[in-house]
Amino acid sequence: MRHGSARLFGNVGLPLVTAIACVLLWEGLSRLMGTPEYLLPRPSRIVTAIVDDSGLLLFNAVYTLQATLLGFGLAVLLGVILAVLIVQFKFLDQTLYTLLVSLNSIPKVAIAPLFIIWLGTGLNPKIAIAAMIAVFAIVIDMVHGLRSVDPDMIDLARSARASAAKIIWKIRFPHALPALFAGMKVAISLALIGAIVGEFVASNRGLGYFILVSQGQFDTVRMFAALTILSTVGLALFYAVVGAEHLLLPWQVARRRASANA
Amino acid sequence: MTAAVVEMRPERRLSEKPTSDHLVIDGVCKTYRSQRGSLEALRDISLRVRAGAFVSIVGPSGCGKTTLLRCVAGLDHPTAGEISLKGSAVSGPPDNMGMVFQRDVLLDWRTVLDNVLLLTEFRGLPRRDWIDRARRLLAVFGLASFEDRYPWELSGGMRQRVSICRAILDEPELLLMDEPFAALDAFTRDELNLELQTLSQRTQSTTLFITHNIGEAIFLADQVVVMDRRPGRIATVLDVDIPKPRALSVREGRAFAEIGRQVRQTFEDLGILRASP
Repeated sequence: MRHGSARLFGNVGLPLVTAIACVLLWEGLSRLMGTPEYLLPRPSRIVTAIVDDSGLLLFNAVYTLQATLLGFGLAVLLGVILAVLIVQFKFLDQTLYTLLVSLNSIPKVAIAPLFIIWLGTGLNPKIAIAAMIAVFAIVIDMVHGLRSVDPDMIDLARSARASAAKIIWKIRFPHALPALFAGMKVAISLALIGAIVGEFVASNRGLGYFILVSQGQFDTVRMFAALTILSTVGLALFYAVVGAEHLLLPWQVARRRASANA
Repeated sequence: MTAAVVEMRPERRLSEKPTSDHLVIDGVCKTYRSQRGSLEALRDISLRVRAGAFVSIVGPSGCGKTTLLRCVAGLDHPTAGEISLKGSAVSGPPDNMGMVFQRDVLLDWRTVLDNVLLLTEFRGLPRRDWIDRARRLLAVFGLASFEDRYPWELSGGMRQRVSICRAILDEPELLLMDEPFAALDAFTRDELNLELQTLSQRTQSTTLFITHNIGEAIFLADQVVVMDRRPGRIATVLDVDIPKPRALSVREGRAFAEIGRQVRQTFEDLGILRASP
């Protein structure tokens, strides 16, 4: 138990203390040097702004969160289906997978304006951009996960005349879940980036839009307020995926812990 | 290659009368072709195994033991020759066959019991019909209290016991084991040798047991097949006429030592083992 609480402090307490120390240092230095607010507002001012604008920030955060989650969900669904097809069909591996891997190196932000032309200025293009940016991480990790099954395991299944569908469903897919979660941890942050990019290109709502408008008004304090909320949302989303992994893959988490203690 | 096949003919005539030969390997060759050239893994392997026999195949690494086993299992196909089980040619994985590999290949996300029941799910058999038998088997291997544990909670020896339970759950007529105890320490290996002996006497499965441990090969087997290095060929086949069940102490006996000497002599003659420093 003592061991457990020590680990909890190392994982949560230490980073938290470091963050608080940095914020205090920032507050102190900007008070001492009298940094103008339009360049770098003090943390205390940012907190006041968050409280004052809480309704507005919440309204916009919900919109961004909506685009992020829907885009992420779409990316996971598409990514998993694509990965299974790529692993099952050699033809798709040689065509689609190679193409996807090379497409991944294109700066996808640059394609975002196209989605506005295709899908308008509502929520849909934001979802699409978020999904497009996030899907590669899912496909690449999932393909790797599906492929990394021990060949003896596949031989064992074939020796019992398992159908291709059963090999996928009972062996490859569960085996790939830890890799899928690794991909999802990256993809959730990418989906948030995608949603913001979509709002930057064309929007009248969302945290990205809020930041643009505040910038137009030279309201640095409000920009920082929105950035703070955005970071919090990003962190919360990441740890939501981590939490889901703990819930759904207890064997993976326990094994990781066992090998860490060994 | 053709000559070898022709030479096999007289022996094939012998097999025509329905003896109790369960497994007949007849002039099997296997050559892998790749862009870098071809690799001859097996050359003209012929072997007949009667029903219920325990046959050890011993040979150095890379002698094609595993290739031979995969061909018998129907997971790979010989380039030439034929393998038949109970008189019908093997073209794919046969019914009623169990396999054990060097790595236990248990599924991390399944409990011990669910791992043992895995293959019944592949075969589309109802779980409730097998669950009692799975529990009994686990009890035989001293794993009764571990059925709800996960593989990563078990030791290497226990994991391999689970994979043996999985292979023999439906009492296969043919049991194929590919160096199952190679990754275990000497004590665990001895224990598992004894357990396997007891079990195979009870189930009467025809067993092919691959190993590179000469002592283990002799201890378990009715017949020891000694293989030569690449291309894999059968150098000699030795009968082990030591009554079963055998205690571990038979390994110190004269009969055992004599067979061991013959196996080592064969390897020396082949240049695989050196007689003196």
